[in-house]
Amino acid sequence: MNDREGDTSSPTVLVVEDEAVIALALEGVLQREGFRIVAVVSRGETALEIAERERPDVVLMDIRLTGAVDGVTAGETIHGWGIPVVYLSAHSDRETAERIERAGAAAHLTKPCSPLLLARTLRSVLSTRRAGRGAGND
Amino acid sequence: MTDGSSDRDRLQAILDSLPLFIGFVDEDGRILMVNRVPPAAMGVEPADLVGKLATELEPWNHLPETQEAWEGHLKHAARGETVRFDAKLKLPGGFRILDMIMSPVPASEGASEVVAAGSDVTERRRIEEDLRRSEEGLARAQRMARMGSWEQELPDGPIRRSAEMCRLLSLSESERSLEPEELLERVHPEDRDRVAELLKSAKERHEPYAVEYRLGRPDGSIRHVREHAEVVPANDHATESLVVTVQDVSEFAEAQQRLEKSLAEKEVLLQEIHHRVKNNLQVVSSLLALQAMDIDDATISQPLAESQRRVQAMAHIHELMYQSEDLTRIDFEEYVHRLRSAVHLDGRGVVELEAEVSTPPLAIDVAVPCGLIASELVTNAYRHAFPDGREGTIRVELATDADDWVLAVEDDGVGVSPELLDGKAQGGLGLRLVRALARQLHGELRIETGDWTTFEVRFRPPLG
Repeated sequence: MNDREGDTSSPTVLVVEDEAVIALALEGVLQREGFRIVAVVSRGETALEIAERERPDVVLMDIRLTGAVDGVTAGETIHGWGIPVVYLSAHSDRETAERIERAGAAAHLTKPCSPLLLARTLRSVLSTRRAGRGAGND
Repeated sequence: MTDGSSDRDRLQAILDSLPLFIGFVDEDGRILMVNRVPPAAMGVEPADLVGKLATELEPWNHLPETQEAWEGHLKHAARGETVRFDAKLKLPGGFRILDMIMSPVPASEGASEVVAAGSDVTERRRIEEDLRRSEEGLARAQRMARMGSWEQELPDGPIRRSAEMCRLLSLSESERSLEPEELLERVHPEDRDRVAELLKSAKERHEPYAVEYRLGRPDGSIRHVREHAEVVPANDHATESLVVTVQDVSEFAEAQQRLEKSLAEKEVLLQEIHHRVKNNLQVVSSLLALQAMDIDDATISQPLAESQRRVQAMAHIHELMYQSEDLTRIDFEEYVHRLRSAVHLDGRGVVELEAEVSTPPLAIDVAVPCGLIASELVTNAYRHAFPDGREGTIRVELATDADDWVLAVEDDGVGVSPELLDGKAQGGLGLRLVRALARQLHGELRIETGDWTTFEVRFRPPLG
């Protein structure tokens, strides 16, 4: 991960997206917006492994992934570890939208998403989390 | 009874009064006496027959089997048995069938006499034969159609099942007249209550019904059957009978299931294709975005961003396709709502996007050009009609007008230049695309301005 841009004070993001070119575009946008990418993965299983090890500040999660574990299933577990999960998916059917909600989504964005909205949403999720932690410490 | 002669006259009178062929013969078959029926039928006098052997006469010797039957049965009767047989006689009016009874008559001096009485059953035998053929035909038709039937005189007459019905239920001879309620256990458990309820209401309230259900057979196989029941007047019209037909439609049901499975597979495939097309278009869009990221020069990055938006507009059509009910048509109103997120308007004044669609859902050949036109015009309005934080509304309408459809994008922004209105100016690539897509729909773009600026494409939707 050392070859990735961003200093240690930048918020860290794990990008879970199985379409390589889309993942690359997301990576570009997030780096430009000052995030540090801990990894870009295409499988739910790998996402779980890396999220547990690297403890990113936030996970950007697609729904349809390579492998048996889909985005919502992986996201639910990651949410359980106290890491906020922002879903970025195509327009979802109601069933999937409800699953995402139940999985404790920090936010749910629809593809295509403007770089500005993406960055703004991630920052807002991170500041809410910091505020929450601060309140918890008092 | 005074003397013999008088007895004989009386006997003759009795015999003549009966509508039967009656004759007394000796054990060789020589005619001793006849009533009036045989000579009348043969067109002769009684005296012409008396003293002759029956087999000397044409009625009895014309057909060899008739002669054999006479001689054979006569021997038994002469030995003291009563015999009964059908005989086909040749009479002047044609062949007649007699139901013959021959009985021994005690005679004097140990000699045997035989009385032969025949009833003309030609008509009855013909009707019986017709009936037999009709029943045979019905049984054959039932076998060929795999349709059994049963009936019962209500409320509790005996059950009469056709042969095919027994075959369908695999009923043994002893089970042939079991009550239908006793056979309900052969109905698939999931269907049993429904069938039982219908049977009950047919019997109690004389209600007809039609039902499809599954039958389990003793060999473990399952048959799909279609059952119809009607209550009809019974023979005497005083009571009513329940008449039920049961047809084995397993082959249809299986074909139907195969068809449904195949259709479901095709739907999955179609959904997958739209999904992949959408994904690929999003990849293309991302490629353009990546390309634009490294470029600081807006004259280059801006057209790339435009191309990205247009590719997204097409991706949206395919996304709506695979999310639609029948996978072939999209709801245009939903498409317009999704345009809101596709045209990036961060940091602008509040511009509402309204959609009003009164056409049926759009097939892909109309959806793609209409979608791209709407995307261009909405983007165009956002970009140029509301400068300096001006607020307002953009309205997308797709409506029918007689046989035409009208796609209109209106805004209450700053209006357009006169050059654009009178056609002296071509407009940018966006408007050139809109004109080209309008031509693809065999329509034309019209621009009007007033309180609202309207871009309108009127076209004839393809049939179907």
